[in-house]
Amino acid sequence: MSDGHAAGPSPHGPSGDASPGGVPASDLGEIWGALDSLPRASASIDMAATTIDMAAVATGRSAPRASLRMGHGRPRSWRNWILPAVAVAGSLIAGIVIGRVTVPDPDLRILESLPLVRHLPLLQEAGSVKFLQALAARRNQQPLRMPPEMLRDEGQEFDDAVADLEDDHAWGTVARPLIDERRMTIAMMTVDERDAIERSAAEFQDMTATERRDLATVASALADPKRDELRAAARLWHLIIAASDPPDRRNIVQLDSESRLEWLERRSRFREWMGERRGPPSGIEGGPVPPRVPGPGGSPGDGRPRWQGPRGDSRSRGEPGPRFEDGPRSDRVGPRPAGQPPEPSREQGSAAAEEN
Amino acid sequence: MATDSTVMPQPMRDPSTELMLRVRDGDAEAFADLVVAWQDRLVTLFLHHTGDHSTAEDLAQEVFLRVYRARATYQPTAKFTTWIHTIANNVASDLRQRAYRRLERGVPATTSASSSAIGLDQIAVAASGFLPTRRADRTELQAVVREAVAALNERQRMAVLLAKFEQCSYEEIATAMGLTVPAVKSLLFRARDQLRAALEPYLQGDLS
Repeated sequence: MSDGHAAGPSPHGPSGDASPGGVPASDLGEIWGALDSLPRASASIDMAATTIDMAAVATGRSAPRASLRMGHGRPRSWRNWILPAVAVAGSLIAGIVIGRVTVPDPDLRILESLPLVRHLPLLQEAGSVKFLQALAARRNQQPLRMPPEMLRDEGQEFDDAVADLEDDHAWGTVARPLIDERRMTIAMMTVDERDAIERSAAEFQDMTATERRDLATVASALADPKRDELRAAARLWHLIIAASDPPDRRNIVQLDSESRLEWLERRSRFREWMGERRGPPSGIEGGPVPPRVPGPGGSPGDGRPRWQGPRGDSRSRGEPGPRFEDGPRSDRVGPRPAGQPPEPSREQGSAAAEEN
Repeated sequence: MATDSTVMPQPMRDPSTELMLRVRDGDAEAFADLVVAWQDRLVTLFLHHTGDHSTAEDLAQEVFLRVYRARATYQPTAKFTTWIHTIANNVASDLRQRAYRRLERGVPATTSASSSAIGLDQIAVAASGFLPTRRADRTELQAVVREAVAALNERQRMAVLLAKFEQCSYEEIATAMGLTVPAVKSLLFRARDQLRAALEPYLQGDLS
């Protein structure tokens, strides 16, 4: 039996005999090969940390018991007096540990996961590794038509965030010196930065353990310099989101992987359709601004091009069109622009959206 | 008098046994190393045993906790791998017993391979629908193999998974599962027959 993970062929070879010490490969026959199709699983990123924490808590709660079939140990004489002492010490430690677990220090949790909290919007935007893999494998990407300066700024913002994740790739249970270092980092932040962290922290605290774990998985993938294809996909997705209409962004980000891909497909079809009508785009960057199309909620735009920053800031270009924030955006004023394709139904859950 | 650490001759010790001896001696870092070294293996084993990743992680954690609780009594009289497989099998058995108790109380069991509604007969019928036989692509084959493995009974499944994913010998499987070697052979023989019946239409290209 190999001590390494059984990822390859059996170290015993496929022709194991039927002796007691042999391997069952030959008895399983052709089925042995078919079982190779079953994938090897990976534990989630924080499993080791939570297991170690749980073991620490369990140690304080009860003394080890020899209840397993193997590994029976003969009690030794010193245990007669050491066990009560250990029990007392264990109770003290358990009190501290359980107290810390049951009354968690919210600041500590935030500090332990600070990289995730800092880049929460970006990580939520990236969604999942599965989605990024699907996006990376996707063909026929439409060109991004957005002003060069916006493309540059948004790309830089993404690159900085990924570099930050790579530099500070530690979350879950982290060492005390790093916690202190992060505390200092927050202390040196501007008021605006601290406000942003606090908002993200509040959202992070409300997330379930599974959501936080998924977030950590995405962060780890983006922080891994070997996974260039995922980074590139996440960057492209960040630019697509940044170029979409601000009211649509949250809806797009909230879509699951499948719906996101469906939305992209619809967007591609729409862009192709527009290209056929208008001829080829004038350029990948800074191209003509096409009319609005509905976002994933099925809400159509106001028919006018509108440039706003990725956070809905004042980076706008041209005169903003009328906004219909108080009512359904499908209550369009004026006729649909001639030649615009029919809007997908609201029930479809996703629709093509124009980046610009 | 020989100490515990000399029970197994030095050359026979595998790295996990060394780690476990350090865990026994109170080395917390060794336990962390042990968890890291074994977590993927256990999650894989339990994933294919239960069919659910979250359950697999929970069970793997339970194994580590039992290892940690029993660390003081660990004796390197056998390979650590055999010991941890024994614990894994016990944890899986406990899960089965809990599932039975839930059924007795009328509580539906969680999604798991053991509760798969797809039986071998159904798999075979589904496969025959694709005749003339052709080689299934990898994804499809993976799904079919997963269903076929899920349709085995718990003990057959554990024996197959220990054999395939952990490369255990008959003797090691027997020790881990508390069975005799002939019983393990019998288990695997029946498992092979059932798997073959389910997978033959898909694998005929490979079998010929």
